[in-house]
Amino acid sequence: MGGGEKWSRMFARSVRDVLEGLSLEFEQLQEIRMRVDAPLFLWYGNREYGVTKGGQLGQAGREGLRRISERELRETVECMGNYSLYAFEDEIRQGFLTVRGGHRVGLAGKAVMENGNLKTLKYISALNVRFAHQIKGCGEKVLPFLFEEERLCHSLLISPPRGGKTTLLRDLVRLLSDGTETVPGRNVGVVDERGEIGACYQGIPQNDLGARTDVLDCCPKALGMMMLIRSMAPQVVAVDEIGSREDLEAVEYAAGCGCAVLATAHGGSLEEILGKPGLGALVRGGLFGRLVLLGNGEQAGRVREIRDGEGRLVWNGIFDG
Amino acid sequence: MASLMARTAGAVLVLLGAGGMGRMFSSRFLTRLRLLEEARRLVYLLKGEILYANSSLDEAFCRAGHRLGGRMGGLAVQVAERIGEKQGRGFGEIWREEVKNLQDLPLSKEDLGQLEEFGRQLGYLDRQMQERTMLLYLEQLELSIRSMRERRQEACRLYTGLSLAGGIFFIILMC
Repeated sequence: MGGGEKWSRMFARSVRDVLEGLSLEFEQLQEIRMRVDAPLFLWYGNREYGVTKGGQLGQAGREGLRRISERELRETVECMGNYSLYAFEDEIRQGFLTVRGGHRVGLAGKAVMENGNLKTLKYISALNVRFAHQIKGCGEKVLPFLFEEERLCHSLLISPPRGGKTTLLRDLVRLLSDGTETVPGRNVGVVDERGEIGACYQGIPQNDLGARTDVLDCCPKALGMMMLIRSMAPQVVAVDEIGSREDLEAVEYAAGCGCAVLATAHGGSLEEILGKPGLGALVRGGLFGRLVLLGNGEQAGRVREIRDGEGRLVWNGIFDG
Repeated sequence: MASLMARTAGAVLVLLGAGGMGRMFSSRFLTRLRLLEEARRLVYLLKGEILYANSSLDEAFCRAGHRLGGRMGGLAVQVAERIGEKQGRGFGEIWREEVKNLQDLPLSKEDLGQLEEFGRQLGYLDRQMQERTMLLYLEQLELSIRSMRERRQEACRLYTGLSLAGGIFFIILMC
């Protein structure tokens, strides 16, 4: 849906007409937020906009912005789920669904509980679409710093939400898989639990992840890492957004199997990561040989610093992903 | 003499026409039975795709349609394509329009109504609901197919016999 297929097709007809009338450049589009009876907001070129009733981009705080009706939101959710929300039960339970193109749609509504567990969401009243962009080459400058004596270190990419860590991970996977002038290509296994890295459609990655990459799509990370190591013998295992105890155990397992692990985690700084119960202990224990800290809001994909497993600076400055 | 020959030729043609009409009615009956059996196979395939492979409706219709082939397979592929086009319309609307395209087939109003209702309920709520919707439609199909199978020989004979009898009656009237 990114380049080839039109991204606006995931929206209900009336919203789609409005968005198409704005003539947006997809590469600049970061996020769209819809709430019932509230204005339609867009993050475009690192700025927040609303859409006026006349169908123009307007300042987010202004009056006279076009509001989203309950029907538009409902139709959009149905359209995003290909009229098959039953197929996204597990994802909806986690509050999101990933649509074709790898774009992630976060959902909010009324939670339906069963035996103390969340069964589903109903009366969905708000959603935000975070657009996935494949930026080829954004990992080229970072890649050499992930090696130590020609060995690829276990690396953790850290950024707050919308910081560009998944985009960077995707490009690092591609570079490691295809190889570069200095780095030979290697087998990479990707566990794509949320379908954001490869944006698989019917099992086939729509993003370029390199010629030697095997993708386990929509598979829980902990289970997928074990499966890949046993079945596909990867030299590198890549996963997005680790955090749970099971994920961390699987990362430790993978790291102990001779695979290099590339992972991402949410965090605004190294201190925040060190303060997390499970992940902090792993980082303090020096499992990750490289910690790559990305931008803090002003520009997605901006790498601020790279540290080694003991917290020493390997590189700092700014380069844009 | 010429008049007798013309009458005989006319009678033979009427008989042949009547026989042909009988064959056509039988064939429509058999085609309807075959279409209902195809619809049943389509639902079985959809059931597998949705319940076992957790496929979304477009994936399920596309794969089941290609596997099944025939007119019902064509319907499924067409529906999958329409979903894929993402025209921003509801699934019920897409389904209704595609079912309308089957009106040239020898399906009864009741068959088309049941088929339309089946599609209207698909996609609603969870997987259990999909299963129930498919089971309900399968049950309706089973009843129709069973009843048609029981009547098959009798109906085919009746269509041919009545048409021929009609033809003979017409010849008698004309003579």
